[in-house]
Amino acid sequence: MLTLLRQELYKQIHGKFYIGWGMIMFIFAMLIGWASNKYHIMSGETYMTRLSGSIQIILIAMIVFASTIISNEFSSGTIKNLLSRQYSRMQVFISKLITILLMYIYLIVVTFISTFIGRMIFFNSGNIIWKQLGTNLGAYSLFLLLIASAALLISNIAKSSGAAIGIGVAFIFAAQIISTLLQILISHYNWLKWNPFNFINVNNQLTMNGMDKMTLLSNNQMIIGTILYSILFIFVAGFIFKKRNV
Amino acid sequence: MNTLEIKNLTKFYGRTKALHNVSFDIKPGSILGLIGPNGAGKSTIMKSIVGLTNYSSGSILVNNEKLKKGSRKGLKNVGSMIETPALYGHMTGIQNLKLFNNGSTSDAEIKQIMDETQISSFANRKAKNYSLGMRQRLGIAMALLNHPKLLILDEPMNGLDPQSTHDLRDLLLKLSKRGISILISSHLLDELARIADYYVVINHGKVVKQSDAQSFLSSDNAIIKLNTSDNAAGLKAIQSIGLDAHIVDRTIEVKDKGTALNDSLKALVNAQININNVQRQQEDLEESLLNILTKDKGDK
Repeated sequence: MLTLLRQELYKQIHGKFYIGWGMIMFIFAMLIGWASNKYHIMSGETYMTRLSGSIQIILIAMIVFASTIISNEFSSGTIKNLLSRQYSRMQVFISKLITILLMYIYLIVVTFISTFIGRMIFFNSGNIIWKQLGTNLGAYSLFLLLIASAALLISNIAKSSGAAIGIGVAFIFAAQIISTLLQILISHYNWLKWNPFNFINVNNQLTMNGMDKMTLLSNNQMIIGTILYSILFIFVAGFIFKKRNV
Repeated sequence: MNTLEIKNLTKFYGRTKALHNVSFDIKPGSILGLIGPNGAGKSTIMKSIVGLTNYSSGSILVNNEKLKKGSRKGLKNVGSMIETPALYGHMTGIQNLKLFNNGSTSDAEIKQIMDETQISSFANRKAKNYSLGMRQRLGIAMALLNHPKLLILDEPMNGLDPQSTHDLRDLLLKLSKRGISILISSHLLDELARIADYYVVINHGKVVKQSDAQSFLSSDNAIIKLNTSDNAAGLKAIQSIGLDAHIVDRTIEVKDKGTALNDSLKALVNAQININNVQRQQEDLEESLLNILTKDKGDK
């Protein structure tokens, strides 16, 4: 397992993803910091606790990453090298999951450092409201877990990595529209609150007041439901990965 | 102990039976040529061994370890290159090699593999810029990592120039002498004929023939070619003793069965016909394969 993980990280280190997206995060944090300071878009505290608003960029990066980490291997044929060894398909799949998690942690760390630097440069302060930052990060992490696991599931079905990214990104926009439409129905049919699209609101519900009246779910229900749906998506993705012929 | 034992391997693609009770084995240090037409099931057998496709029934043992869905320890000492070599284009050749080294191959051994497969001159270039021949050689180098006892090579000579093909042939012979067993498929039958110790012929997912290289080629289809002072009279003399003979391109061709050579020569001498030239043409691998496939078609 450690060998598989080492190999996944070796591939990432020799790839452009982490440098490219790391630079995008840094530049974005600087730009938002500069603009926030000049045009008073957000306060220094909000800039820091919302990680300069870069979470949306991390979301796109993670959809791309989760969509391509398996589909790329299939479209380039390199999956043969991964599967034709003594490791089980589940071990290969788990090593991919851990790599997605590590990439997420990496992007969060880069964004945090970039935002912190931006805060010191543009707001002349290094003060951090840790509790608010923790709540925001936790909420967005749950949202990302749900989205990334759905993207991973889609990438297991898609034949090419391009299609996987396209479907993954389209899914996010479509899911938000469907979620909004379903909220009208949820008020009429209570059981519909358990539909997976309702859990897309997890980050909004945990960071804003009043969302529970729309989703009809408590914060705990929202958290547990998001985790359970994510596990289900990952489980189905793993099952497809295990059965797929090369 | 055989390096590879395949017993009654059966595989369905939906309702289509792709493999029918395929069984064969490979002894340590021997080279087995898996031959057959396109779509016969050669790649499916290879993919089943390394776990790229699930098989429906049967068993596969590598170094006496039974390969199951949950237990793939036997593949620890298996190197493979199935269909086209799969490389990470954004990485250099040497990075591709290092990626799949599980730690058991030292840097000196990697260098040796690079020298043997002749990839050193381009190993520092990104793999996406490689020609098919370069990719093929790097794929073989990757298969040689981690001290394999069994090498599975699907069409490894594709895209190689004559010199590289010759070098690969020498390398495979060298590896077999080191005790590495090799399962190889190739459409370049002349090349395969120079290295294989055994053949397994696959057609429509079935083993239609398996034998060692010697007996595979010494079938009943060898031909004796005779050039005489009077071919028409010579043909009559040979046919009169009951041999199967024809004139093809101003040459008497006699089907070589049992004592056909001696009998033909005696018949010509008795008929007082001068013999200008005698040639015994052994059937080659390609002809043998075509005959086997034709016979298999006829049996159906």
